[in-house]
Amino acid sequence: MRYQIGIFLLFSLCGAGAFAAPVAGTRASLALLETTDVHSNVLGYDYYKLAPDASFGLDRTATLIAQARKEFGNTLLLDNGDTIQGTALADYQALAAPLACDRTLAVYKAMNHLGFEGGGIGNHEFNYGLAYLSQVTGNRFDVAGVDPAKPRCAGPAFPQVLSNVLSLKSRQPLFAPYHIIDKQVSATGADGKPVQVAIKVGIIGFAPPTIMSWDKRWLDGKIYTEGVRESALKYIPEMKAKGADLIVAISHGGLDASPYSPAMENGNYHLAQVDGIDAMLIGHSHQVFPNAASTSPQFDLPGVDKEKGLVHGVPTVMANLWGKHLGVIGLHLTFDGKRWVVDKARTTVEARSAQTGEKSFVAADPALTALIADEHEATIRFVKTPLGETTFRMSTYFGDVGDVSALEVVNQAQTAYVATYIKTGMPELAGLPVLSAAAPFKSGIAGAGDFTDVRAGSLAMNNAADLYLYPNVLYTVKINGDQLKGWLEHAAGRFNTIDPARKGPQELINTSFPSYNFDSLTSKDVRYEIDLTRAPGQRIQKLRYRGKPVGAADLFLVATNNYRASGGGGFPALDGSRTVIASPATNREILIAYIKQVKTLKRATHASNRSWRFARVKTAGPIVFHTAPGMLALAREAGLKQVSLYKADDGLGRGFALYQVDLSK
Amino acid sequence: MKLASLLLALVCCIAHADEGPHAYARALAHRNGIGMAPDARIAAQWMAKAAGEGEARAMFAYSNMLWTGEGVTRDEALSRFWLEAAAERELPEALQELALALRHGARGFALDEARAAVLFQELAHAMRHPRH
Repeated sequence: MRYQIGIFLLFSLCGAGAFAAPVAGTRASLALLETTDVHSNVLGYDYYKLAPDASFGLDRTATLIAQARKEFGNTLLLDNGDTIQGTALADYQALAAPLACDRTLAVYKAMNHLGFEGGGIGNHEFNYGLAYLSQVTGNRFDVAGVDPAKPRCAGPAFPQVLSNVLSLKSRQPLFAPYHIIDKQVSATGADGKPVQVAIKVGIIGFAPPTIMSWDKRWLDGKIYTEGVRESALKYIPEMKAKGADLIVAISHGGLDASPYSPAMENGNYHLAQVDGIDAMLIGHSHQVFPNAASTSPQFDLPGVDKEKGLVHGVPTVMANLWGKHLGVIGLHLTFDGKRWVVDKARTTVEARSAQTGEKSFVAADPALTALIADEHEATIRFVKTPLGETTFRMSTYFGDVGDVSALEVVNQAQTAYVATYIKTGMPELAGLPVLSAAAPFKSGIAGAGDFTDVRAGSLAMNNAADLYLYPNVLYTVKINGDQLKGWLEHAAGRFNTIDPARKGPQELINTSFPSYNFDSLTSKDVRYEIDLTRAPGQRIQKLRYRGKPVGAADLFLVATNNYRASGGGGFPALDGSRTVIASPATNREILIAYIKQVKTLKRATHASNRSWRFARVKTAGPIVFHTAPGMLALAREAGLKQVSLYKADDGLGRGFALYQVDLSK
Repeated sequence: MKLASLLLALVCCIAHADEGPHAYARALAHRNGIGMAPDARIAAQWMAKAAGEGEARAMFAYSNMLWTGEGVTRDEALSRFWLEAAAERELPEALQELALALRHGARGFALDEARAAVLFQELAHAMRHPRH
């Protein structure tokens, strides 16, 4: 099936300069190339692990772009937003060392170098506020909160479009709603000879209207949004009137077949049904489309062809995230004397992966490494900047048997945060005891080196990431004494039931119960014992708060994370319904702030409050557990005299040693 | 057949999207005894209904209930199904549960570090703009 695209010869001639007006029968191919959700991953580098990671990065997408440019005579490279936020590099340039007006953001420098020709704006572009966005995109937003006297700063060398986000002050879109690119292409004339012609490609951008709640603190009272359909209906006729031959929607969102609402987050299922859109570049959901194997519900909708990459017949691509894929929509066009006609049957839609094998990827473009070397090195220095220091080694090698060296500081930071939070904003919770639970996230699952291990010395952001691995936010639940006991009982499922009479070795750890669910308290006010001779659910003994047995009527606040408070790990009574504080701050940020405040962590004050111990029992045989070899001294330093080495090599071939714990001590 | 009926239940959520949160609230009330005596069996019924109507939080909670057999016959495979479904909807806690399970080989999942890594990336992103 073919369809018609209006063309305005006069406009084409003006825009094309020296390029000839096409004659009927002229043919051209044009590939739209999409990146989306790059999230400032210019280089494949993990700034928290301080190590390269080949599985992502615009430096590898660059190779895909080069390949596509070789393959297709004409390409148009477009980005779909969520570009300037997402890595330590982004935070460094936005927060730690705010970008000077005459400097271009690293990710835009890279995009300029790669020859991007247009871009959209995603929701994360708003994460650092409007003034920053105005600056780094080279704009002068006419909006409250942005100084109108400020000069226009450096920005991307390509047009950025966003039609549905408007200033309350001016009632106009913050960015140009659309832009018409005079794309000069190599074509084949009716006589079969090469000819250069211009095609006007109109790009129009959309962001999820839900930015208003996600970045309320920056946006409330300053901007407003319109629905994607409404904006499309407003501007597409205007674009056509200005001579656009093709309309490309750059829409930062996914697909949602719910009834249309102007506030919906993923409006592209409905956007595709607006007349006149020739192709859609979508994103936000971090998915790959087209992808016949995808199980994502958004691609299993009526009118969506996830094999061919069509949404209500509109060629559509979503290129995953972090530069892992490049979206490619191949269009074949013929000029019929009045307009360019797309041969729909020959349109191709692909999301091309930078991954070539199980652990292999296309080569990275070294030019990008050189281009942003200064910013990259500065970010590494930023991540390594001391926050404070620790006078003791903080590790999880013996977390299962009571070493709190990597846990207590987390609990202390969380407790202090909640105490302040209540004092300043939730007086109704004042007076309730504040406890905190933490678990050893790293326990050797990936090998003997897979433990949290922060050496004595200065503490930097990457160490904080080792101490708090996951991107959770702090939640606090209000529970009673029975529920607290139930929580600890569930956590004690980490251990096998021990038979004291058995003479052979018994494994301490129930390997079907992961360490990240072994929550424990490190409060001087709480004491409890775990009786390993009892079945799961009956192990918590002598649970006391300030010396008194904890009763069913006692109430506690327990600081934890959103995962646990909302049902993660399947703990009894924790399903979100007892959450009383849902902080926007991440547990890691809270830990960092605490370390900055305390400055020096000492074992006596930050690693010696173990609330629990194993109930004493004499066993006929050894109780053994596996952890990294050569670490016994750490157990000693942690005061775990009941731990000793059983075998220097546990014999399982993974590099672990076998230790034993004497439950009678 | 079971999978087909579940998929059908998921499809129904498109038409009844507003009913999910209501059924989820009922499920939580029965599960936790909020304004009524706790009843795990009735809670599981409401949770299943809410999950079928597309409520991601209910999918996650129902997955947990199926895993432990709380108010419902224990069913590991169905538990994994609903966990996957909740993660597909980018519920951060479900993404984390699934990623952790794949990294640790928990909840009956085979170890899959590569997929876990992708899900952790998804989690980091989802945490920046939770939908639920």
